Amino acid sequence: MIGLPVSTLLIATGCGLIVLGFAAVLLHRNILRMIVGFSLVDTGVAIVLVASGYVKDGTAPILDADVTPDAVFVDPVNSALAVTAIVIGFSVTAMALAYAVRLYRLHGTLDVGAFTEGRG
Amino acid sequence: MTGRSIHVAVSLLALAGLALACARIVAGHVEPVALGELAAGYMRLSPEELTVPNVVTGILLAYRSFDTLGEVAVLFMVAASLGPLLQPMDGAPAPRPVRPMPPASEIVESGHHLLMPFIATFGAYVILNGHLSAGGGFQGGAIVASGVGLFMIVRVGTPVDTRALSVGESMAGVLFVAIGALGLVLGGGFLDPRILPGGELGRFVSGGTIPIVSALLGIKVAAELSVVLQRFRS
Repeated sequence: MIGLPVSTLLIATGCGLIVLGFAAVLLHRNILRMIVGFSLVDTGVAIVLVASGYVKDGTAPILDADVTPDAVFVDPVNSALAVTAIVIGFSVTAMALAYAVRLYRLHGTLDVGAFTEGRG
Repeated sequence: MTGRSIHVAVSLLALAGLALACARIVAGHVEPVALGELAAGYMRLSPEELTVPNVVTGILLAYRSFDTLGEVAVLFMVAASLGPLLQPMDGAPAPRPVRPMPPASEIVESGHHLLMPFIATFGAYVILNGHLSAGGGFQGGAIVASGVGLFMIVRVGTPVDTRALSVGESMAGVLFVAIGALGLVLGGGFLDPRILPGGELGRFVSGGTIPIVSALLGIKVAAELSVVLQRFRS
Protein backbone atom coordinates (compact mmCIF):
# COMPACT_ATOMS: atom_id res chain seq x y z
CA MET A 1 0.00 0.00 0.00
CA ILE A 2 1.34 3.34 -1.01
CA GLY A 3 -0.34 6.11 0.90
CA LEU A 4 -2.47 7.46 -1.98
CA PRO A 5 -6.26 7.14 -1.74
CA VAL A 6 -8.01 4.89 -4.28
CA SER A 7 -9.88 7.72 -5.97
CA THR A 8 -6.66 9.65 -6.63
CA LEU A 9 -5.12 6.56 -8.21
CA LEU A 10 -8.24 6.11 -10.36
CA ILE A 11 -8.19 9.74 -11.45
CA ALA A 12 -4.53 9.31 -12.40
CA THR A 13 -5.47 6.21 -14.44
CA GLY A 14 -8.31 8.05 -16.16
CA CYS A 15 -6.07 11.04 -16.95
CA GLY A 16 -3.46 8.64 -18.33
CA LEU A 17 -6.09 7.11 -20.63
CA ILE A 18 -7.18 10.58 -21.79
CA VAL A 19 -3.60 11.61 -22.64
CA LEU A 20 -2.99 8.25 -24.34
CA GLY A 21 -6.19 8.62 -26.37
CA PHE A 22 -5.30 12.13 -27.53
CA ALA A 23 -1.82 10.90 -28.41
CA ALA A 24 -3.39 8.22 -30.62
CA VAL A 25 -5.68 10.81 -32.24
CA LEU A 26 -2.87 13.27 -32.94
CA LEU A 27 -0.01 10.99 -33.89
CA HIS A 28 -1.61 8.15 -35.87
CA ARG A 29 -2.49 8.47 -39.52
CA ASN A 30 -4.92 5.55 -39.69
CA ILE A 31 -8.51 6.62 -39.05
CA LEU A 32 -9.41 3.41 -37.21
CA ARG A 33 -6.59 4.03 -34.73
CA MET A 34 -7.81 7.59 -34.25
CA ILE A 35 -11.29 6.24 -33.45
CA VAL A 36 -9.76 3.86 -30.91
CA GLY A 37 -8.06 6.93 -29.45
CA PHE A 38 -11.40 8.74 -29.09
CA SER A 39 -12.81 5.64 -27.36
CA LEU A 40 -9.90 5.72 -24.92
CA VAL A 41 -10.64 9.38 -24.16
CA ASP A 42 -14.30 8.48 -23.49
CA THR A 43 -13.31 5.71 -21.12
CA GLY A 44 -10.82 7.94 -19.34
CA VAL A 45 -13.40 10.68 -18.86
CA ALA A 46 -15.92 8.19 -17.44
CA ILE A 47 -13.31 6.88 -14.98
CA VAL A 48 -12.36 10.40 -13.89
CA LEU A 49 -16.05 11.32 -13.45
CA VAL A 50 -16.85 8.33 -11.26
CA ALA A 51 -13.60 8.55 -9.29
CA SER A 52 -14.04 12.25 -8.53
CA GLY A 53 -17.41 11.43 -6.97
CA TYR A 54 -15.94 8.99 -4.50
CA VAL A 55 -16.39 9.89 -0.86
CA LYS A 56 -14.09 8.33 1.72
CA ASP A 57 -15.51 4.95 2.84
CA GLY A 58 -18.67 5.63 0.87
CA THR A 59 -21.10 2.98 -0.33
CA ALA A 60 -23.25 2.85 -3.48
CA PRO A 61 -26.11 5.40 -3.44
CA ILE A 62 -28.79 2.70 -3.29
CA LEU A 63 -30.88 2.26 -0.16
CA ASP A 64 -31.95 -1.21 0.91
CA ALA A 65 -32.50 -3.22 4.07
CA ASP A 66 -28.80 -3.14 5.02
CA VAL A 67 -28.11 0.51 4.22
CA THR A 68 -29.64 3.24 6.32
CA PRO A 69 -30.09 6.77 4.96
CA ASP A 70 -27.44 8.14 7.32
CA ALA A 71 -24.64 5.96 5.94
CA VAL A 72 -21.84 7.56 3.89
CA PHE A 73 -22.62 7.46 0.17
CA VAL A 74 -20.62 8.22 -2.95
CA ASP A 75 -21.84 11.07 -5.14
CA PRO A 76 -24.85 9.88 -7.23
CA VAL A 77 -24.64 12.86 -9.59
CA ASN A 78 -21.30 11.70 -10.98
CA SER A 79 -22.64 8.20 -11.64
CA ALA A 80 -25.61 9.67 -13.51
CA LEU A 81 -23.26 11.88 -15.56
CA ALA A 82 -21.08 8.86 -16.34
CA VAL A 83 -24.09 7.07 -17.87
CA THR A 84 -24.63 10.08 -20.13
CA ALA A 85 -20.95 10.18 -21.04
CA ILE A 86 -20.92 6.49 -21.96
CA VAL A 87 -23.99 6.80 -24.19
CA ILE A 88 -22.64 9.86 -25.98
CA GLY A 89 -19.26 8.14 -26.35
CA PHE A 90 -20.99 5.18 -27.99
CA SER A 91 -22.82 7.51 -30.38
CA VAL A 92 -19.61 9.34 -31.31
CA THR A 93 -17.81 6.05 -31.97
CA ALA A 94 -20.66 4.73 -34.11
CA MET A 95 -20.77 7.91 -36.21
CA ALA A 96 -16.99 8.00 -36.61
CA LEU A 97 -16.95 4.37 -37.74
CA ALA A 98 -19.71 5.04 -40.27
CA TYR A 99 -17.72 7.93 -41.71
CA ALA A 100 -14.64 5.70 -41.81
CA VAL A 101 -16.58 3.11 -43.83
CA ARG A 102 -17.76 5.83 -46.20
CA LEU A 103 -14.28 7.30 -46.66
CA TYR A 104 -12.86 3.84 -47.30
CA ARG A 105 -15.48 3.22 -49.98
CA LEU A 106 -14.69 6.57 -51.60
CA HIS A 107 -10.87 6.48 -51.44
CA GLY A 108 -9.99 2.84 -50.84
CA THR A 109 -7.73 3.75 -47.92
CA LEU A 110 -7.98 4.76 -44.27
CA ASP A 111 -4.85 6.96 -44.25
CA VAL A 112 -5.71 10.56 -43.33
CA GLY A 113 -2.84 11.76 -45.53
CA ALA A 114 -4.71 10.54 -48.61
CA PHE A 115 -7.70 12.78 -47.85
CA THR A 116 -5.76 16.03 -47.52
CA GLU A 117 -3.58 15.64 -50.63
CA GLY A 118 -4.48 17.76 -53.62
CA ARG A 119 -5.86 20.61 -51.59
CA GLY A 120 -2.76 22.66 -52.26
CA MET B 1 8.61 15.36 -44.70
CA THR B 2 9.13 18.55 -42.74
CA GLY B 3 5.35 19.08 -42.53
CA ARG B 4 5.04 15.76 -40.79
CA SER B 5 7.79 16.52 -38.27
CA ILE B 6 6.26 19.93 -37.49
CA HIS B 7 2.93 18.16 -36.96
CA VAL B 8 4.54 15.66 -34.58
CA ALA B 9 6.34 18.42 -32.67
CA VAL B 10 3.16 20.49 -32.23
CA SER B 11 1.20 17.38 -31.22
CA LEU B 12 3.81 16.42 -28.63
CA LEU B 13 3.72 19.97 -27.25
CA ALA B 14 -0.08 19.86 -26.95
CA LEU B 15 0.09 16.44 -25.30
CA ALA B 16 2.69 17.69 -22.84
CA GLY B 17 0.37 20.56 -21.93
CA LEU B 18 -2.54 18.19 -21.46
CA ALA B 19 -0.41 15.85 -19.34
CA LEU B 20 0.69 18.80 -17.20
CA ALA B 21 -2.95 19.88 -16.66
CA CYS B 22 -3.87 16.29 -15.74
CA ALA B 23 -0.94 16.03 -13.35
CA ARG B 24 -2.09 19.21 -11.61
CA ILE B 25 -5.62 17.77 -11.26
CA VAL B 26 -4.28 14.52 -9.81
CA ALA B 27 -1.89 16.32 -7.46
CA GLY B 28 -4.63 18.65 -6.25
CA HIS B 29 -7.21 15.94 -5.68
CA VAL B 30 -8.29 15.41 -2.10
CA GLU B 31 -10.70 12.60 -1.34
CA PRO B 32 -13.82 14.27 0.13
CA VAL B 33 -15.17 13.00 3.42
CA ALA B 34 -18.78 14.13 2.92
CA LEU B 35 -21.17 14.72 0.04
CA GLY B 36 -21.69 18.13 -1.49
CA GLU B 37 -24.91 20.02 -0.86
CA LEU B 38 -26.58 19.03 -4.15
CA ALA B 39 -25.71 15.34 -3.86
CA ALA B 40 -26.79 15.23 -0.20
CA GLY B 41 -30.08 16.83 -1.22
CA TYR B 42 -30.67 14.18 -3.88
CA MET B 43 -29.76 11.45 -1.38
CA ARG B 44 -32.38 12.79 1.04
CA LEU B 45 -35.12 13.68 -1.46
CA SER B 46 -35.04 10.69 -3.81
CA PRO B 47 -36.27 8.12 -1.24
CA GLU B 48 -38.64 10.62 0.41
CA GLU B 49 -40.24 12.36 -2.56
CA LEU B 50 -39.98 9.73 -5.28
CA THR B 51 -39.85 6.52 -3.16
CA VAL B 52 -36.94 5.42 -5.33
CA PRO B 53 -34.15 3.77 -3.31
CA ASN B 54 -31.69 3.84 -6.22
CA VAL B 55 -30.75 7.52 -6.18
CA VAL B 56 -28.89 7.33 -9.51
CA THR B 57 -32.10 6.22 -11.23
CA GLY B 58 -33.98 8.93 -9.36
CA ILE B 59 -31.61 11.52 -10.78
CA LEU B 60 -31.62 10.08 -14.29
CA LEU B 61 -35.37 9.62 -14.62
CA ALA B 62 -36.80 12.38 -12.44
CA TYR B 63 -34.50 15.25 -11.51
CA ARG B 64 -32.49 15.25 -14.72
CA SER B 65 -34.93 13.35 -16.95
CA PHE B 66 -34.83 16.08 -19.59
CA ASP B 67 -31.14 15.24 -20.03
CA THR B 68 -32.06 11.59 -20.41
CA LEU B 69 -34.59 12.49 -23.11
CA GLY B 70 -31.89 14.44 -24.95
CA GLU B 71 -29.52 11.51 -24.64
CA VAL B 72 -32.07 9.14 -26.14
CA ALA B 73 -32.67 11.68 -28.90
CA VAL B 74 -28.93 11.61 -29.69
CA LEU B 75 -29.02 7.79 -29.85
CA PHE B 76 -32.06 7.98 -32.11
CA MET B 77 -30.35 10.43 -34.45
CA VAL B 78 -27.28 8.18 -34.64
CA ALA B 79 -29.40 5.11 -35.43
CA ALA B 80 -31.34 7.06 -38.05
CA SER B 81 -28.35 8.70 -39.74
CA LEU B 82 -26.30 5.50 -39.99
CA GLY B 83 -28.74 4.22 -42.65
CA PRO B 84 -28.08 6.95 -45.26
CA LEU B 85 -24.39 7.16 -44.26
CA LEU B 86 -23.72 3.48 -44.90
CA GLN B 87 -25.77 3.28 -48.13
CA PRO B 88 -23.75 2.59 -51.27
CA MET B 89 -22.96 5.91 -52.97
CA ASP B 90 -23.73 6.72 -56.59
CA GLY B 91 -20.72 7.34 -58.73
CA ALA B 92 -18.33 5.78 -56.25
CA PRO B 93 -16.48 2.60 -57.17
CA ALA B 94 -18.52 -0.40 -56.11
CA PRO B 95 -17.37 -1.82 -52.77
CA ARG B 96 -15.12 -4.77 -53.22
CA PRO B 97 -17.03 -8.07 -53.13
CA VAL B 98 -16.81 -9.36 -49.61
CA ARG B 99 -16.27 -13.09 -49.37
CA PRO B 100 -19.26 -14.82 -47.82
CA MET B 101 -19.06 -15.21 -44.06
CA PRO B 102 -18.56 -18.81 -42.96
CA PRO B 103 -21.33 -20.20 -40.76
CA ALA B 104 -20.82 -19.91 -37.02
CA SER B 105 -18.93 -22.75 -35.37
CA GLU B 106 -20.63 -25.32 -33.18
CA ILE B 107 -19.31 -23.76 -29.98
CA VAL B 108 -20.81 -20.37 -30.84
CA GLU B 109 -24.05 -22.01 -31.96
CA SER B 110 -24.45 -24.05 -28.74
CA GLY B 111 -23.38 -21.09 -26.63
CA HIS B 112 -26.04 -19.00 -28.33
CA HIS B 113 -28.75 -21.57 -27.51
CA LEU B 114 -27.56 -21.86 -23.94
CA LEU B 115 -27.02 -18.16 -23.20
CA MET B 116 -29.78 -16.44 -25.12
CA PRO B 117 -32.59 -17.03 -22.55
CA PHE B 118 -30.32 -15.88 -19.73
CA ILE B 119 -29.21 -12.75 -21.55
CA ALA B 120 -32.80 -11.79 -22.38
CA THR B 121 -34.05 -12.53 -18.85
CA PHE B 122 -31.17 -10.69 -17.21
CA GLY B 123 -31.72 -7.71 -19.51
CA ALA B 124 -35.40 -7.57 -18.61
CA TYR B 125 -34.54 -7.94 -14.91
CA VAL B 126 -32.03 -5.08 -15.02
CA ILE B 127 -34.48 -2.85 -16.90
CA LEU B 128 -37.41 -3.53 -14.55
CA ASN B 129 -35.45 -3.32 -11.29
CA GLY B 130 -33.70 -0.08 -12.18
CA HIS B 131 -35.51 1.81 -9.43
CA LEU B 132 -34.63 -0.76 -6.73
CA SER B 133 -31.07 -1.89 -7.42
CA ALA B 134 -28.18 -1.09 -9.72
CA GLY B 135 -29.43 -0.92 -13.29
CA GLY B 136 -32.02 0.85 -15.37
CA GLY B 137 -33.19 1.38 -18.91
CA PHE B 138 -29.82 2.17 -20.48
CA GLN B 139 -27.94 -0.67 -18.88
CA GLY B 140 -30.63 -3.31 -19.45
CA GLY B 141 -31.16 -2.12 -23.02
CA ALA B 142 -27.45 -2.56 -23.69
CA ILE B 143 -27.61 -6.12 -22.27
CA VAL B 144 -30.56 -7.02 -24.53
CA ALA B 145 -28.76 -5.49 -27.53
CA SER B 146 -25.68 -7.60 -26.73
CA GLY B 147 -27.98 -10.63 -27.02
CA VAL B 148 -29.09 -9.36 -30.43
CA GLY B 149 -25.41 -9.00 -31.33
CA LEU B 150 -24.84 -12.66 -30.42
CA PHE B 151 -27.82 -13.61 -32.58
CA MET B 152 -26.27 -11.70 -35.49
CA ILE B 153 -23.00 -13.58 -35.10
CA VAL B 154 -24.73 -16.96 -35.07
CA ARG B 155 -27.35 -16.39 -37.80
CA VAL B 156 -24.97 -14.87 -40.31
CA GLY B 157 -27.39 -14.53 -43.21
CA THR B 158 -30.52 -13.55 -41.32
CA PRO B 159 -31.17 -9.80 -41.39
CA VAL B 160 -32.81 -8.16 -38.40
CA ASP B 161 -35.93 -6.22 -39.37
CA THR B 162 -34.85 -2.63 -38.72
CA ARG B 163 -38.25 -1.28 -39.73
CA ALA B 164 -40.07 -3.27 -37.01
CA LEU B 165 -37.41 -2.20 -34.51
CA SER B 166 -37.86 1.43 -35.54
CA VAL B 167 -41.64 1.17 -35.07
CA GLY B 168 -41.23 -0.30 -31.57
CA GLU B 169 -38.60 2.29 -30.74
CA SER B 170 -40.77 5.19 -31.93
CA MET B 171 -43.78 3.91 -29.96
CA ALA B 172 -41.64 3.76 -26.82
CA GLY B 173 -40.37 7.27 -27.54
CA VAL B 174 -43.89 8.68 -28.05
CA LEU B 175 -45.12 7.05 -24.83
CA PHE B 176 -42.06 8.41 -22.99
CA VAL B 177 -42.83 11.97 -24.09
CA ALA B 178 -46.56 11.44 -23.43
CA ILE B 179 -45.83 10.43 -19.84
CA GLY B 180 -43.57 13.46 -19.59
CA ALA B 181 -46.37 15.72 -20.84
CA LEU B 182 -48.79 14.13 -18.36
CA GLY B 183 -46.35 15.07 -15.64
CA LEU B 184 -46.52 18.63 -16.93
CA VAL B 185 -50.33 18.65 -16.64
CA LEU B 186 -50.93 16.57 -13.52
CA GLY B 187 -47.64 16.81 -11.63
CA GLY B 188 -45.04 19.43 -10.92
CA GLY B 189 -43.26 19.51 -14.28
CA PHE B 190 -42.10 17.64 -17.35
CA LEU B 191 -41.57 13.92 -16.57
CA ASP B 192 -42.59 14.33 -12.93
CA PRO B 193 -42.94 10.69 -11.75
CA ARG B 194 -45.33 11.56 -8.93
CA ILE B 195 -48.45 11.45 -11.10
CA LEU B 196 -48.87 7.84 -9.94
CA PRO B 197 -48.86 6.98 -6.23
CA GLY B 198 -45.37 6.51 -4.86
CA GLY B 199 -46.12 3.29 -3.00
CA GLU B 200 -43.85 1.79 -0.39
CA LEU B 201 -40.08 2.30 -0.54
CA GLY B 202 -38.33 -0.78 -1.88
CA ARG B 203 -41.39 -2.54 -3.33
CA PHE B 204 -41.44 -3.53 -7.00
CA VAL B 205 -44.51 -1.39 -7.69
CA SER B 206 -43.34 1.94 -6.34
CA GLY B 207 -41.77 5.20 -7.43
CA GLY B 208 -44.70 6.48 -9.49
CA THR B 209 -44.05 6.36 -13.23
CA ILE B 210 -40.32 5.60 -12.89
CA PRO B 211 -40.57 1.82 -13.56
CA ILE B 212 -42.76 2.49 -16.63
CA VAL B 213 -40.42 5.17 -17.96
CA SER B 214 -37.45 2.88 -17.26
CA ALA B 215 -39.07 0.01 -19.21
CA LEU B 216 -39.82 2.33 -22.16
CA LEU B 217 -36.25 3.59 -22.05
CA GLY B 218 -34.99 0.00 -22.04
CA ILE B 219 -37.08 -0.90 -25.11
CA LYS B 220 -35.92 2.23 -26.88
CA VAL B 221 -32.23 1.75 -26.13
CA ALA B 222 -32.30 -1.97 -27.00
CA ALA B 223 -34.03 -1.25 -30.33
CA GLU B 224 -31.69 1.62 -31.17
CA LEU B 225 -28.53 -0.34 -30.40
CA SER B 226 -29.85 -3.30 -32.42
CA VAL B 227 -30.52 -1.00 -35.37
CA VAL B 228 -26.97 0.36 -35.10
CA LEU B 229 -25.55 -3.19 -35.07
CA GLN B 230 -27.67 -4.23 -38.05
CA ARG B 231 -26.67 -1.13 -40.04
CA PHE B 232 -23.00 -1.96 -39.61
CA ARG B 233 -23.63 -5.60 -40.52
CA SER B 234 -25.40 -4.96 -43.80
